Amino acid sequence: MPEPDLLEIFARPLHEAGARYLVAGSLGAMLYSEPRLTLDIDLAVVLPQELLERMSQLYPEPDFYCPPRSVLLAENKRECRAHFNVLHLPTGLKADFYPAQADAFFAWSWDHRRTADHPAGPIIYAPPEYVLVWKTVYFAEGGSEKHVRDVRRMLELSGDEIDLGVVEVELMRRGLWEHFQRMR
Amino acid sequence: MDLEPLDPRQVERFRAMTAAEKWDVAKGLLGTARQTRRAAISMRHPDWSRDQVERELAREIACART
Repeated sequence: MPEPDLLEIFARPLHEAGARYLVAGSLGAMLYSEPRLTLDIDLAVVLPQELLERMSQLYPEPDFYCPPRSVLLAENKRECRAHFNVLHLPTGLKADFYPAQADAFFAWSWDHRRTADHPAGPIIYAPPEYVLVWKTVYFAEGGSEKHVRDVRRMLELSGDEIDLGVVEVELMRRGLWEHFQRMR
Repeated sequence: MDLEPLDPRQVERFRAMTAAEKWDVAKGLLGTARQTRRAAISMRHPDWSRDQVERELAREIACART
């Protein structure tokens, strides 16, 4: 039985719809570090009204759970920390969606995005600075050591292509630069 | 957190891998994790059909966190 592919299940529909999305989180970290096990995918995405209305077509029943339109609208309006899940029910795999139209750092990251080829087609990844900032945010909130490992491996393997000045400015703005210093 | 530095040969290999190659390895890890859970469920419930095992596997994966 072929094993499921998070990128094909969740990211390709967004890509084919022409969305402004970035693969971040552990999968984003992997691009700049080492492969590791993950059961979900983090997708920062700009959802204009037309795309928001198509989400239930991109992730259709019965294979997917996509939140109701009212939830998508409410989350999409949130100015910070907007979030919803989409589930692939046959496999239990999950995507965390982070609507990001109000996030200036997303705009910078979109301008610095990386596109990588995969067998099913290209996938757009967040730049390492975006991954590091959000790893630090989630470490500050939850304390999970997986974020520490991801950050250290990214710095170890891709430190020469990371603009730490950008990371510092963004984390200083969020009051989290000290957290990052402890993680590295 | 104690995290040993990578061996220089690992560093060289990881730096040389494409995104697709890294994702192939990660997919393999996910496949192994799923096969292991699938086998454990089948051992716990030898009378279950394949569909029942797959539904339970999906439920467990949905509840798991990495």
